[in-house]
Amino acid sequence: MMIKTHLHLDGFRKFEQCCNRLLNSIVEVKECDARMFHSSTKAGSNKFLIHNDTIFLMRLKFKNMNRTFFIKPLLIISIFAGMLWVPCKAQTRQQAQDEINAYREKVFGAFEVFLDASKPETIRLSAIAPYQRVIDFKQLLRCADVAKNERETDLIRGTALSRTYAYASRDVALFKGVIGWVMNSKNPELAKASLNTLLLMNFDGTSTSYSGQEITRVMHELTGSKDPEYRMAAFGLLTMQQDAYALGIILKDLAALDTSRLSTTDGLIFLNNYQKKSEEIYSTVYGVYNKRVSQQARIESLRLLGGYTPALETIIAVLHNQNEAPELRLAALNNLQGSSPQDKLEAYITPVVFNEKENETLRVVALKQMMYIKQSKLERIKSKRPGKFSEDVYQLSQTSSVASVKNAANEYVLNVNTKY
Amino acid sequence: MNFRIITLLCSIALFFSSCVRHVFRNSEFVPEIEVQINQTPEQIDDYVANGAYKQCQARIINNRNGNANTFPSGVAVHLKNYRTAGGQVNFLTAAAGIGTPTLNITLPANGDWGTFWIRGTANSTIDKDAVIEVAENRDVAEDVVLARKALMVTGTSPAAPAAKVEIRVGTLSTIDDYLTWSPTPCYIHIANPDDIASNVNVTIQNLAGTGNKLRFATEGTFTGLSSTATAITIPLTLPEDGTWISFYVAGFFDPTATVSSTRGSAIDKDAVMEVVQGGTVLGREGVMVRIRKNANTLSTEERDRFLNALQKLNQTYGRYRDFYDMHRTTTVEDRFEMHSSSDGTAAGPLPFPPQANSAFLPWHRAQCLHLERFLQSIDPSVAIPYWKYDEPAPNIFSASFLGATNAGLSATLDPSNPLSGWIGPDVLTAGIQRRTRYNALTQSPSTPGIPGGNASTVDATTLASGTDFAAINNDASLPFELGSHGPAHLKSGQGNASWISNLDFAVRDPLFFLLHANVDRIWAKWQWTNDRFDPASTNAYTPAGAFAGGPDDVAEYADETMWPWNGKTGPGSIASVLNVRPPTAPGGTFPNTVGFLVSPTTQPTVKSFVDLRSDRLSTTTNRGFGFAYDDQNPFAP
Repeated sequence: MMIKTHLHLDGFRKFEQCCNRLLNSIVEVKECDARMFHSSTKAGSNKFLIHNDTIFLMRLKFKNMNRTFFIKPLLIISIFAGMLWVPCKAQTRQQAQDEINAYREKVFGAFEVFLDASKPETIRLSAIAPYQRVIDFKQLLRCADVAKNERETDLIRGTALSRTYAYASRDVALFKGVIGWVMNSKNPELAKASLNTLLLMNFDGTSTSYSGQEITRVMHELTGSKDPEYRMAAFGLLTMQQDAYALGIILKDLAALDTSRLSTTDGLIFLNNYQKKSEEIYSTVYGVYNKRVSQQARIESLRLLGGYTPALETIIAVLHNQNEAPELRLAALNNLQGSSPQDKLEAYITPVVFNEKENETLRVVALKQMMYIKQSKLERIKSKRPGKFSEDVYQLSQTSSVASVKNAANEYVLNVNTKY
Repeated sequence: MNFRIITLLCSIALFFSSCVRHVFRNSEFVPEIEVQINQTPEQIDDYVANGAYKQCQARIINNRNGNANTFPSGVAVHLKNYRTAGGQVNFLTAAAGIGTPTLNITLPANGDWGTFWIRGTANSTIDKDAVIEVAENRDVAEDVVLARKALMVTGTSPAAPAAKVEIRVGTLSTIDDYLTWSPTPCYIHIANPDDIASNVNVTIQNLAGTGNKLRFATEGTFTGLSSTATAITIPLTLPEDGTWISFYVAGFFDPTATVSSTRGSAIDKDAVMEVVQGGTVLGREGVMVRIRKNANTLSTEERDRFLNALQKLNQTYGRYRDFYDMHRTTTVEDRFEMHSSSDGTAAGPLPFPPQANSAFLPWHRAQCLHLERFLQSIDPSVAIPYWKYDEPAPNIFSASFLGATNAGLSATLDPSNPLSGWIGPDVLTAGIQRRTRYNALTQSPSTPGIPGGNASTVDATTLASGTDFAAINNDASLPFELGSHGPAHLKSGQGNASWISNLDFAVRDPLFFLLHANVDRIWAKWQWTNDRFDPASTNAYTPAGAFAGGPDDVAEYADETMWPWNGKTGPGSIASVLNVRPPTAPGGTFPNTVGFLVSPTTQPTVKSFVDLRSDRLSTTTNRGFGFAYDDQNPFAP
């Protein structure tokens, strides 16, 4: 019987104790290598456990073999008990420190294997597969050297860089390497790791004025990459930086509905990153909305058109048009909620909220949002009465035949009307 | 502790309590309210039968120096049931009629009692499961919660004992009746000493059926700042003359709990302490063990309370943007203070500052606590849950919580989700802009092979990074900031315009605070593992002292105050380290609250936030700051 499972160390020990108690026998457990594991799976009394990617050979020595008939079910039960054993968390500081030290040593050992260039690539890679970051500082420096080492394979270099990415901003040579590797299609793994490194550096602000300019320069080039993942990453980073070059490309492509670089939806999505929406952005987006584009693109257009006065009537019309898709109408509602003065919002949503034939989702969302707005002290200062909208909501709470709407109306009344 | 000391402490507490400023308006004092059921301070008569009436009263207790002009028009309050299940009452102005589920009254400016009646409308299932909430209803104030008082709706209340006791948790106000694993001071006395001829021996214990959530300690049993209340029962002798006796109560960290979020309370007032004399109940008081829990395993009610408070802070009060403004990278200084910043030189990325991001951990601990206190003024039972980002969290990334990823940019939210109309600061449309790159139902940012590279967010890796602060703040790897937190941000939306993956916009997404609560949780875990709670130790935080170049409080150094809470502003230029301050300091000073008046101070230093177990810098008790985590007991040996 082969037992293949993943056990927490504490669970494993418990299992060991359990076997000892139940079987009145000696259970020998030792680490073995993969070759032994594969060659011995048919051995009768040998059991294997895989714990944290380490294979353990377990040899059972029963004192009284005649008890096997009874023992086997017990063994199976105990094994399952071991499998189901909830990993014990360290209860004391010392236990926690011991666990962490053991983990650190394990990671250290794994990276020693990875850093040993004499070992086969598969062994090196599999050694650190479970560990996504090097902990030891000296090993970190050695990993950085591996990433720079052109005699290593692409996969090894990419893997090494992926474990040292946080260091790239601290090592000029490594950073310069990353800038070059990211555009080198001959080393796809290294290029991908380089891209991730640059994105993380950019996010965390670890880039300097120098490296920041370099990253921007590289990203400009990557907007024309053949690989859509690189294009997406480049546009994402650049638009977050309010980059004018990327904006120009996106607007030009959207105006022409050119999807060779980005889909229309993705182009619209990236425009969201621009804090200040110019007339050019608004008019281009409104133009996209009015063309025959996908519904998703129309939804993203509506997201962007918040506050754009020329589109207001269109947006209101979408909200009120029961023939439009509910998702599009929800986008219109979201737009109006985010960009309308409150008194006007009340007027926009009234035909939806109080119409029993209207879309349930729209009604509930609109009611809930008005509830949050109307609870404010500003509302209470404005008037000593809850107002017509609130009074109508009270009627809705009494009469609506739609359960979710009635619930939302009741919640509104409890949180708004009762304070007056 | 003798009576004089108790009296002194109470006086000090009252002095400070009168200094508590409104969390949303620093110019305004927050009213503190005492509520009495049956018009008596003792708890043994806090029972009302279904259909019966009981007269109650409430009053302002923090008129400064007895000055009735603190709240010149009195305090208009809104009464309602806090819970929607269990015992329920209606409110009335007289013992007649059926009443209504809410009532508005005004409490007199001079501190006199304002009266109201309650009438039981639904039976309790256990003592203290009926909770009256008192909220602000003045035009000058948002409707923050001022008090919650627990009682029971039952026809079979305990028989009146000879000795009636009054129990206080923290101050007289119930708004600080919220515990963590740290010990909270409590006070008890005989409320009817004229009827008692001798001292009364009592036992403090958990009410049966409430999950044994509390632990107790008598005065003088602590061994220092690293210990808490641990006894399941304690004996006390109550003086016949009515003198107050102090003891301590703490939440019980159950080490056998298999799901961490089952620790602590699930709802306000579900932890009930009981005072018994032999077999006779003398009084019961409901409290809450309020801790930060794993967001993925929150109950539906816990989740919705959090979301409601969050949306109210944003949509109703408009104050969520404070956190966006204080975090947004408007100047170099922002990054200098709270994120790694190798400003370096034009020549290249080196040299980087010697302590690139020292304040990253304490600054974000402060920011999370600031937000949490705002949320708790809306609903005191709320704590920020954490996103354990090294495990799949399908419940967080769902339409009923923080939104599910779909084909578009705006995460899908259920219409009934309070966040369904979430409007991010500086955004002109509702929705949460997030499209997670991995399958959040089955994967996490730590799952190997997901888009975004192999950057690790696994707890163990971060914890193994070193045993002192210099190691975990190592510029070469920055295990907390770059190794753990950065990838969690980035992988949750990289490359597709998600707010969370953009340093400038990340706070627009409420996920930000769940992510940072987790960063803080790991730091707290690291602190416990390595016993790094002492703010005076450079093993716990470095750099020590203050900036040598002058008193500019750049908040890298332990003794310096932190922006924005210190209010220091400047032109935002990087020409000199002395004028890198941003032109504004959003959010005001750090909010203090009843029970945590000086923990921290309103202008906290970096080192204020090193020890989450005890505010050893400002107080002599180890009540901490009012937050703790469900998966770690910082008092464990």
